[in-house]
Amino acid sequence: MSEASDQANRRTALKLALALIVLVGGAIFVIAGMESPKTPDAAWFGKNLEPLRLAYPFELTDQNGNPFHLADQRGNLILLNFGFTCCPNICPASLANLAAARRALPEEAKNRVRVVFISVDERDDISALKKYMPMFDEKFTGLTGTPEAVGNTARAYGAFYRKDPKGPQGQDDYLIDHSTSTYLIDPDGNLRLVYTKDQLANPTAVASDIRRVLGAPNGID
Amino acid sequence: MERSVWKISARFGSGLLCGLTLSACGPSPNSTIDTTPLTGRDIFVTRCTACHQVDGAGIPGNCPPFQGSPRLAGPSDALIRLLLLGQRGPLEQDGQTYKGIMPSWRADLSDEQVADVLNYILTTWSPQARKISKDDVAQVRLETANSKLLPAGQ
Repeated sequence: MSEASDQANRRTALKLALALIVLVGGAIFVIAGMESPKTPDAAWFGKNLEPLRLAYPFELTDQNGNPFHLADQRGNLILLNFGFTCCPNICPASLANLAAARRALPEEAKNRVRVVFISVDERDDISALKKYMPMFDEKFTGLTGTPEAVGNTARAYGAFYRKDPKGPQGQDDYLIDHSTSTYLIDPDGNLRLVYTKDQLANPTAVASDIRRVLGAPNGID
Repeated sequence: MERSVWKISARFGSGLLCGLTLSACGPSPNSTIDTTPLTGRDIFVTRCTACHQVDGAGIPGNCPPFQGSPRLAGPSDALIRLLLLGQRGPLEQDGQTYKGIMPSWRADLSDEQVADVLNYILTTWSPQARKISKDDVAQVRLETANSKLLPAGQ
């Protein structure tokens, strides 16, 4: 075995090792990229609903008896959810978290955010909503309407509700089983983001999304 | 000769693969997956602070402060009942009226979690109060099985 052939062998071994590094490194890069895509969407806390589409333009009645048309809200950011005022847990917790998110905003952004709660319960008349909404925030809007108008709105947003078959079954004593998503509608009227009830428990992150949608500085923490 | 070349390459390669595999699959210091059990403070932060605030100061007109709360200093059964059933205002404390809603946590928290979060609150804002066990919570849960959720405030 000559010295020259030893050197040639070492060179071959080194080349093979380098080829292996490139191969394995490349594979890891690809796999890592698949696991956590580096897309701009990753920065949103809520689930991004792109491609954007206009939110269903419902027309209901607010807690003061005034008509509320979503189409009139251009320029405002809407946080919309569905529920009922006798809800023992999910609605009060979600609305309290939305109130906390709104409090976390700078004054200018706060004034452009409207939290809108659509009651899916026929027991919730205007006076019930007028009493209920200020329990969370004086600026919150509670909406009601005919069962058909509320039903069409809920369906358009993919919300679900029914009388809870496991709860009390009285004429006026019952609970409602309902979906718990909160929808963010941007100032252009687009359905932009959706939050689960558990995500709402992080009001700082929700407020960060709101600031970003409104184009306020420090939108992304 | 050929053999030794492949041997060197194979050793180097397998060492490299092991190192990379371990570093890729082992627990990363930046991992966001938290497997530690929830403590009373964790539950407090995620479930309670929207109204009660991290410092327990509450919200004027909506949610009373923990400091000096007669309910924290009162019987633990009433406190557990409040957490399990919730409460709809108004509520009077120190001459102030609070009109917020305390949700019912009956369906969301286990007996142990109710005990943990209440003990965190008691330790922090009413350290003299008796601590609560999960058996205490189980007992009240049983007693209130048919009670109305969100009763009116006292």
